[in-house]
Amino acid sequence: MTYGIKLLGHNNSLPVSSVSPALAFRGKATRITGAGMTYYPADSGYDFYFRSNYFGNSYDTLTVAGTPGIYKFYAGIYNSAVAPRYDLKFTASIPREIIVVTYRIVCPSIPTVFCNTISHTTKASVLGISQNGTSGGIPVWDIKTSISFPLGLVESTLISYITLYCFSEVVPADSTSSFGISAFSGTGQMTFTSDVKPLKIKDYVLFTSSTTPPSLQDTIYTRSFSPNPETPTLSIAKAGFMNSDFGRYDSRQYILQGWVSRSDGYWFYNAYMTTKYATAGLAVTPGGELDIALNAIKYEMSVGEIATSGAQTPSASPVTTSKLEAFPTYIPVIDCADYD
Amino acid sequence: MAYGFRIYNQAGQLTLSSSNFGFTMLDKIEVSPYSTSSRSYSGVSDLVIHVAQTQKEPTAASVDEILAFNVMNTSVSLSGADVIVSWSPRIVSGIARNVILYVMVMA
Repeated sequence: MTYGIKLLGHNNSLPVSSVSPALAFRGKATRITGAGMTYYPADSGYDFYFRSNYFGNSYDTLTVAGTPGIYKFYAGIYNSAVAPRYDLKFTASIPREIIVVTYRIVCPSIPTVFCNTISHTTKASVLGISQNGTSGGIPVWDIKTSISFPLGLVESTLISYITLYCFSEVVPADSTSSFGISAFSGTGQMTFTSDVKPLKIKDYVLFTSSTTPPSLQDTIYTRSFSPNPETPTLSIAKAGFMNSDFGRYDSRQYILQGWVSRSDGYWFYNAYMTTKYATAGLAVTPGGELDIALNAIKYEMSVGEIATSGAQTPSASPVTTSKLEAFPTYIPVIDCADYD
Repeated sequence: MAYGFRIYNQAGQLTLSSSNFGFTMLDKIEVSPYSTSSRSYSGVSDLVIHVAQTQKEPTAASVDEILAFNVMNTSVSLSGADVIVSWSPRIVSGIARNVILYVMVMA
């Protein structure tokens, strides 16, 4: 820069300058309740059928080759009343492990959001932000957020664990007193005022694209911090992680194998289930490790093939494919206690 | 502290000091997930620019829309005294949504 003010902070960072505006704390987003504002991704299950002309009276259940315990699958003989035949029915029952919740904040411009959770097993990430009118002439923003949590817990309790801290660039209206300091750009834009609570970054989390794909829930990562952090994340009392779609896209296939006992032998069936993952949630465990959960947002299931017949062991091996995308690498971390 | 600065508010609370990492917002750009383009900034070539991103969500909400996942490739380069922020498509999965690029000054 060739003019103006530049106050350097830790590690030659730039908390105050006349080049670009600082971010001011705008408050904690309010969770929207009511019909239509809180909803859930598909969890009702999918039915697939294998049909044969065989008249039998057999029944058995499918086994999951891949990650048993995460999904539940059922299979049975299904009798069609129209054309007497027995079908094998696959039902993928998806446990409710993700909630999508809308939060709202009044903010002069689209907010930069930091997510905090008081329980490291419950994590949040922002799916998208949209403007929803104005309030007193100031834009209102809806923040659609996915919250992931362990199976079997109470959703309403888990939602209460999450708090979104919102920031946006300072504006002239933020300068409300006749003391302190303010900074302006060459075009007269306010870039800092001491009348607001500015965004204070305490640390960064660094990821690389070579990070191993995590499992569905709560994989603990080795984290790398930026040089000379003011406060290592381990000691931040109430860590909040910037949400910037740093998440990963992961596609996997699981093979489901079932068999039906017939008079002429055992007939085996395969079906494939594909899961896709999007943004991830971050939290710090009580032990101080960084905990990541991918928020699964889409499940697809397709019918595979009849593997074999006349034998009691499926011939096909479980198939697992995965794809990992890691980006960007820096995740800023704040201490949310600074803003409570 | 032996060096640096501290800023207090009227209540005497410390709001900012040179112990904090810097984080200011140079620009926010809304782009199509299919777009390839760039934007240049002058007077910031001595600073470190980082680009984060998030989807811009349409107002209407439906279950299908949460399946959308749109991500851009981004890069930052120098061109003389200017900083060039470039972007191009990376992932368009499900519904195509615009992406907000946060151009941040880190140092």
